[in-house]
Amino acid sequence: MDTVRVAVVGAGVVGLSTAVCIAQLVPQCSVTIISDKFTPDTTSDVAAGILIPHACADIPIAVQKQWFRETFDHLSSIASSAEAVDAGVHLLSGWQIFRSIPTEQVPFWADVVLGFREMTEAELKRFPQYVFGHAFTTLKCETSVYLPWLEKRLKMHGGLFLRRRVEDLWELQPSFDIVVNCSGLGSRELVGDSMVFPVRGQILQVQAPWVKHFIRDGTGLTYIYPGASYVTLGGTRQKGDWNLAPDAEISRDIFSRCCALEPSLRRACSMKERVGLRPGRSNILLQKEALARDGRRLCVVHHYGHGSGGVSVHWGCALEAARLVNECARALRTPALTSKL
Amino acid sequence: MPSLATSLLLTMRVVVIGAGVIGLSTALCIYERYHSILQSLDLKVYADRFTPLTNTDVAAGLWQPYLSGPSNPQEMAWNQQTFDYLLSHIYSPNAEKMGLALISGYNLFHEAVPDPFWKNIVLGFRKLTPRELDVFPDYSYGWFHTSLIIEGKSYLEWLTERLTERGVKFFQRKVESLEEVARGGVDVIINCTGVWAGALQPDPLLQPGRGQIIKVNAPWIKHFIVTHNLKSGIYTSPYIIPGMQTVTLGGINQLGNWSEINSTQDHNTIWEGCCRLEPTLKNARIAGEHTGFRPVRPQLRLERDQLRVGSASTEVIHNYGHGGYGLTIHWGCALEAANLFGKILEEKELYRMPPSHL
Repeated sequence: MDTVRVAVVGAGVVGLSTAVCIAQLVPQCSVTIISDKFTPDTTSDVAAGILIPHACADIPIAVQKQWFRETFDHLSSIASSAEAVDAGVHLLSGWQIFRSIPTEQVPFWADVVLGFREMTEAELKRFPQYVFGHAFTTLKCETSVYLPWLEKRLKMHGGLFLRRRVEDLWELQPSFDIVVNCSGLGSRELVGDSMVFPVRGQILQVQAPWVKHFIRDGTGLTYIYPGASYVTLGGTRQKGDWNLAPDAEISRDIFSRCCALEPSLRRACSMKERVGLRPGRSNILLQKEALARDGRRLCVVHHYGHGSGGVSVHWGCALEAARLVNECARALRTPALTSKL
Repeated sequence: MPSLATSLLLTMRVVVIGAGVIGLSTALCIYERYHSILQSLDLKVYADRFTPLTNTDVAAGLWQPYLSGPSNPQEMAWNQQTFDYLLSHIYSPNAEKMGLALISGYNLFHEAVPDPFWKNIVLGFRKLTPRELDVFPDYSYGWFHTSLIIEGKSYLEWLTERLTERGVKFFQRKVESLEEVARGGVDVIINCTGVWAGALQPDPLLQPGRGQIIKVNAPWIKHFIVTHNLKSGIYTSPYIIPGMQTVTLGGINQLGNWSEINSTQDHNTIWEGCCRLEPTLKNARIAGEHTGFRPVRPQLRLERDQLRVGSASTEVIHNYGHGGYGLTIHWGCALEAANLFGKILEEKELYRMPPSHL
């Protein structure tokens, strides 16, 4: 059997996890990651990495729940192992609070996280402008540690790395048999998908090691996510904004909103501002496409458009992407079927 | 109402012996309540050890009473008062300076146990779900709730600052007897000498509960994990308690052991027990190791006493014997000590307590 040569474009959390899944699950393949940016310069590196899913409009809830559960279970076993620190994964408890009672009082993912329940009156007292809340334990996946860990795992499986900006998927033919497009926001140019747009997020990374819980406003606009090395304060959701430079006024506003929820943050020090452009899209695109041009053929698996929810579903999606790659690989190996591509 | 003339004439000379959490919080509580009523409150603290060398400094600082109800029902109220008092400070910008933070976590057991008497004092108390118990394969039952950390060293520094601002003076001296202090011309002695109270007045009920702890850098650990071995007793089973900057590992409680030296055997017991509970600790760097003595007593001693030196009589308030729950109960005890102080003032006709206290 010839080795199937797979190229994964994009080295964020989606690209790396997809590459690892392919290397583990697709028999007789070689995997090469090609990207102009690697950690710590990817969009994923800015994300706080808390596992709380964002509902996608057109994907069935059962599928979203499966992706989230697979990701949660996968990271959960890492968190309880000695690898947890190297992978940057740890348990985190906290509260999601609402200024008015949400229509969906129990979200679809309530039984995936641990110990999910409504907040008590006594717990809500400290948030005078909020009337309802959820308390639960979830996982935090520190991308700045997780991504290098994924890179190591990929190397262990024989994966190769190429730093290069891909302008057109056809550049990769005939060197590669299958291309997996994990280029996130880059897909707008790379494959001409105008449905992809940036959702600018600005955050602060501060030193406040006494903060042991996450606090998230139900709208998702204000949040406090403590990690192993810093606490992430956020945030913003600016659709269509491509500006990667931090805005001082926005930083002040974020800090003020977070201090309103957690007054002790006023004593936080060492503040870093970061900006990331989330790969916004009405839906995650996870599907095969057979490209043909001038008699040449290229199998593509698209895997992009995760918006705010990339980390929360990355592993479940990566498993699905690997399955699609496997289908492509089997099709390539069956001579009778090749002409049908 | 006492005559204004009487209350303005006298100075109350008060000495607090002991500068751990009990001594300093009692001093602050008495000062706050009475300094404006008396013409002059001369308040001093005598201690041979100050932070960071007190037993309070060694405590992990998790607010949590013992599991079984206290033999003295007043202790329940004192625990509640302490929690409520600390919680009111948690939401202030001062919290971090005081060494205060909210923390959630796990209490783990090998068998089902009744809910603790303090379940409605802490926040969000519930039993662990089966999936949560999967994280701890050696245990089959447990609780999850949100409590507080009150870190001894920061809290003592904060109390010291508050007292210093109020003109309270500190003296480093080893007190050999209560008489020695009384002879110095003192109206009230507040005995907060903790595990060493027996040196001032024999107390066969008081004994050391030696504890040893390892402090590590493990900032990814955000929950406390306290395990219980009902047969071997409290604090003899591994516990992992994150603090403001480091994580405290422990699980040693040796009654009657006065050795101040860190023991290698105890180190190994703690390390192995905690690593088994939380495998990620293998990556943690050790930041320090300490020994302290819990002042163990069947119930804490908080009561008045009189000391006769020659023809004179000096008032004493004892406030010691808080075992492993000193930080947990300190403020309620300080309030009660202040009540007892008020009664002393009443008797000296310096002050009439408001009717609700009678």
